[in-house]
Amino acid sequence: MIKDGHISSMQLIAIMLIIIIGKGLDSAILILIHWGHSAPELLMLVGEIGIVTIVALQLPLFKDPNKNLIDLLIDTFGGVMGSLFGFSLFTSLLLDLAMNVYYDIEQIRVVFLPTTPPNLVLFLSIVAMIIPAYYGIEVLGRTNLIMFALMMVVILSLIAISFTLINIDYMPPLLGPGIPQLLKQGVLHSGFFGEYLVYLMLRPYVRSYRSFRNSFYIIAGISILFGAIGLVIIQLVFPYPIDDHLFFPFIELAKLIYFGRFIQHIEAVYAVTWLAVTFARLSLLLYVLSLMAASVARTPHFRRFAPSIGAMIYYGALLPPTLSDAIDFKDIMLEKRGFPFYGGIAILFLIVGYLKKWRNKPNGGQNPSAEQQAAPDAATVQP
Amino acid sequence: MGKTPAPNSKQPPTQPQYNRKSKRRIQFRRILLICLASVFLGGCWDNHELESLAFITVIGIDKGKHNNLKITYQFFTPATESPKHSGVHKPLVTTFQAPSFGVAENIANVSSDRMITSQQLKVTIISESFAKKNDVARVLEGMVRSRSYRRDILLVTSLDDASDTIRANLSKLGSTSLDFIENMRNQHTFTGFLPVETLNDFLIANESGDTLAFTGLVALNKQSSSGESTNQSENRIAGQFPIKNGDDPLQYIGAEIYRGDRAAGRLTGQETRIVLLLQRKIGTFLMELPDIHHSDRRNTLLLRQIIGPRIRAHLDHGQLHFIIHVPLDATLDSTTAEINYVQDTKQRRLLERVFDQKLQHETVKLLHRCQKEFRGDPIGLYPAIKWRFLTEKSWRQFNYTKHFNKARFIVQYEIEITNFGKQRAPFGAQ
Repeated sequence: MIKDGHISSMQLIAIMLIIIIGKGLDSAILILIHWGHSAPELLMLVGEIGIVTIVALQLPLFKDPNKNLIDLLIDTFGGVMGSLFGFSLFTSLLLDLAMNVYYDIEQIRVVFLPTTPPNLVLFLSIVAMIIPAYYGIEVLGRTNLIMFALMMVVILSLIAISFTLINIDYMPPLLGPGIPQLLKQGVLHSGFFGEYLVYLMLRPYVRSYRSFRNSFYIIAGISILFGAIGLVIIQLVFPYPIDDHLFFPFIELAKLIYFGRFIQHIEAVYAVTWLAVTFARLSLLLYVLSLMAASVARTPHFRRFAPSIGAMIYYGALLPPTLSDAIDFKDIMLEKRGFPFYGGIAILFLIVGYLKKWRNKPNGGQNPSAEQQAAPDAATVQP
Repeated sequence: MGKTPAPNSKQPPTQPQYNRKSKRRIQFRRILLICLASVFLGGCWDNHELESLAFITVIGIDKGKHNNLKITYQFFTPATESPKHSGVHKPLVTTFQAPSFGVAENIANVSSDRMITSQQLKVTIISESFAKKNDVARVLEGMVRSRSYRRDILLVTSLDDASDTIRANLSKLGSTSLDFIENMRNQHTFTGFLPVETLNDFLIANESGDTLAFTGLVALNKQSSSGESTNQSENRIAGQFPIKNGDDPLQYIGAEIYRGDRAAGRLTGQETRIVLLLQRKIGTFLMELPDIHHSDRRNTLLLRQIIGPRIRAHLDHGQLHFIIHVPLDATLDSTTAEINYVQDTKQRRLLERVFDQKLQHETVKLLHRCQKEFRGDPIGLYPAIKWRFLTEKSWRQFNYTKHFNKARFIVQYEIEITNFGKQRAPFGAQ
């Protein structure tokens, strides 16, 4: 078990919502728009409900407050297979984070720093991710509570202001590419919400299982609601295929806000807030990657992994030659091809985990295991 | 016996001293980190002082020589700094030839010491002669790709050369040339003469394929005689209003329709109003008609659109039918008919019906013109039928434009006079 303090359920909700909703503010959202056409919100619903269901079914396996996802994988599948599965999840999350960093660096380039060398921006971003990860979960929890409030103010105000820009007639055709296509692509793109795995890594930092479980449903509900509203608003301002042709729909949306001659360029406020929320999100993901690496290596010193993971993200983010390639890599490699693999791990863990739980119940299995038989004897010999 | 340490020898530091030292070290490191971060995160590479920038506020696009664009920039100059021409602040305007917008910024820098930036660009004026022969959407595509251009730039088509139009824009009422265009943009809801179509609107209409894109129309006031022959003053386009010694030599009225990326025809001021009425983009406008009893007397209504039009559509044996119902609230703005419209309900209803019929006739005429002349729907009536199609494939197969061009229309206006201004009875009433 890696000890790093405790966070409240509110802080946990804030952390997870920053990770999941924050994703909608960068170019990753184009994957949903590209495959969902004029119904990206339905594609999102199919994909997110799928992964939420898998994680919700896994929650009862996390009653032990000392074990995170990797610990339980090792417990369930044994040292070798558990570590291998844990390492696979670590690799996929690492590549996902590298792509997220690339999207955000590109957005910084376009919005703020067009002539600053991107490698320098990338390096500084990695440093800005590593430093908060060093401070640990309690500092991250408190900071992200403030960041979450900031993010919600920005998102809610953007939703309110965008009502002057939306055209409800851009909504149809309501089913976009059709139900079969939405279902197929929704299942294939469940990996878009792979960040829900982060939630299972944070179990040891929440005191009670009940608040851990309840927080999950709140997180899932809010992120589905805001995700759907966000996608519908984008569709109603930039109808398909216009939104599919943009790289940064969120910034373009903010740029359209016009309050007359005296209040202009409101997007500057949104862009700065986006920057703050983005770094909060990226540092949280780096922190979780450090936890995963330490859990696989069975060491409590997770902080020592942060700089080397930061370096891996740096090089990973240098790999895609263009933003379009980075989006395609995430779409095809990490989601369409990768998800059956690590989604398979999640389902296998679910099946084996429940089987083991059932067998370990006093009356669950037909014959009590050797450990169970030995346990009462051990208790009797103890003074 | 142990040795006692000499009084001046070095004592090993106690625990609190260690803590103090390490705290100072940590503090020093934090301050150093903040200083370094502020240096790096300041974005020195992209640092530009306000004094080193030149802001373009209006761009004009004309046909240039050798397949180039003739681009005109109007720069923002503070009123105190700009040169005066006959008591009017004259903005700095420059025209040159360039193959694209990106290259244009570099060429403009040949004669300007300040870095050209389009961050404050508000209006793009395209000359009609250029728009008729060139692919406007492809030219504008260069704008949306560049980081410095915004999608809310107002698009206007000029009947004259864009460079002449920009140079002529000199308000005598004290507005800067940019303020003049912005004021025209903001007052469109009070006249309905000018559509506020942005670059974003233009590209959405163009790419959707369901509607025809259009822009506002501007022309130099030439006091042309062609417009004077028409009875209705609104049935004219920019440049046809015989205004003598007005504020600005430019006239903003009407719209230019684009089909397949090129200019396809013009809408008069009244037709523009109808388009905006059906799009629910109009606030109020004044409309005047001869009185039903005395043709030499006039009634003027201030029409107000509170509720949007109700547009329904259905397919009958493959034939598309539109049923359009437009409710309007009205104020009797002026009348020389000497009829008590306030208390005489029957006369009031008659007056309402006259305006209803006039607008119905003009709307049907415009819709038929769209079918035959523009061969497409600039109004955007398609949602009335598109909601019935659940998938994109079925909508594409339907081919809306083909159905629209053969569609039948039932148009009904419902004007209700609810306000009579400050006068209860007409002048001279018994």
